[in-house]
Amino acid sequence: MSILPVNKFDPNKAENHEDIEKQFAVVAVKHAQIYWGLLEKINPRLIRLTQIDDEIFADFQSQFPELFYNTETLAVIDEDNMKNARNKARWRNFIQAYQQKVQDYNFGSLLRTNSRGEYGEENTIFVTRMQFLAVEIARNRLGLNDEAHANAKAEK
Amino acid sequence: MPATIEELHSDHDDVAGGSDNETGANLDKVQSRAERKARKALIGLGLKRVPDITRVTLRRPKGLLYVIATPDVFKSQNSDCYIVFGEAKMEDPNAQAQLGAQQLASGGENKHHHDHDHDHDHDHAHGDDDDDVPELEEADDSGEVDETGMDPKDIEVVMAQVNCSRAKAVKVLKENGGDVITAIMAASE
Repeated sequence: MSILPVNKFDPNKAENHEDIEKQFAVVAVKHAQIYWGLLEKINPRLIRLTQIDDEIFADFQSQFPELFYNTETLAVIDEDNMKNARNKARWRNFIQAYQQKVQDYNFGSLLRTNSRGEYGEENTIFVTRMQFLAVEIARNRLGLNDEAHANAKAEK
Repeated sequence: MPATIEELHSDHDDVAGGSDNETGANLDKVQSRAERKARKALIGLGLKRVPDITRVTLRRPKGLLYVIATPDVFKSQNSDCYIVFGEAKMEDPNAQAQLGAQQLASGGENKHHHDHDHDHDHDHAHGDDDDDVPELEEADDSGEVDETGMDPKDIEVVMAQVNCSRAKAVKVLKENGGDVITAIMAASE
């Protein structure tokens, strides 16, 4: 790593060291692997991810009712829609409320775009921990992960 | 490799008193060349010496204890991994209670008393008045743990996934605010 002269260093453009970035990818992947392990072994309808799953689920439902009109929008997430300017702001609002309640609430996490499939290059997007929790709790409760569970079990 | 060259004459230098900061303090306790070599290698790996550790206790089932007095402890800088050097001695809780009493009586001046003869001397001096055991050990993974406010199902899920004790599952769940996935991550590291 080269050392930048102090006057050329702009803190506003400072980036994390490459290794740090990798580190957090490692954590995100580990997190995804463990979640997949749970999906494989436990009936998704019974999976609990946090102490406050009920609260997150209810909050998610009230703040993003459109996703619940047609559960297909939860089963298959439209990343562009999720991350457009308007929804980004709504999500930020949703996420921020859990700052004190959920540990690592804003950590990067991997989410499967299509709940029927497993984690894969084409089927994974990068979201915050709260988005992951909200979507996966909803998927589990609405039975949208049942298929993935059955497939994973069959493969074993 | 510079490390090897240094090693050839470090034997005498260090014992003679010209010890460098990292390896110095307890070189008189270093038993063998192999051990010295291992230490050098570990320091080369970026391990940091943790100073002023007077005692490391490993607990086995049935209250059996392995105790390392005045150990050399090294810590890996980027993970919670500790490496401990020193001679482990078996200790049963009874003897430990007496050692505790001895420690209290002699004002914690236990540094030079790590052989058993000394322990026994003190045993006689204090007789049987030390029935109440002073709490000396660190809390560890075994035994009963408070589970209030936790969902037994969460605990069981963690236990099943990482194959660990109930106590450990409770501990990691608590440390991770009840988040099952991060708890499993923490426990399987």
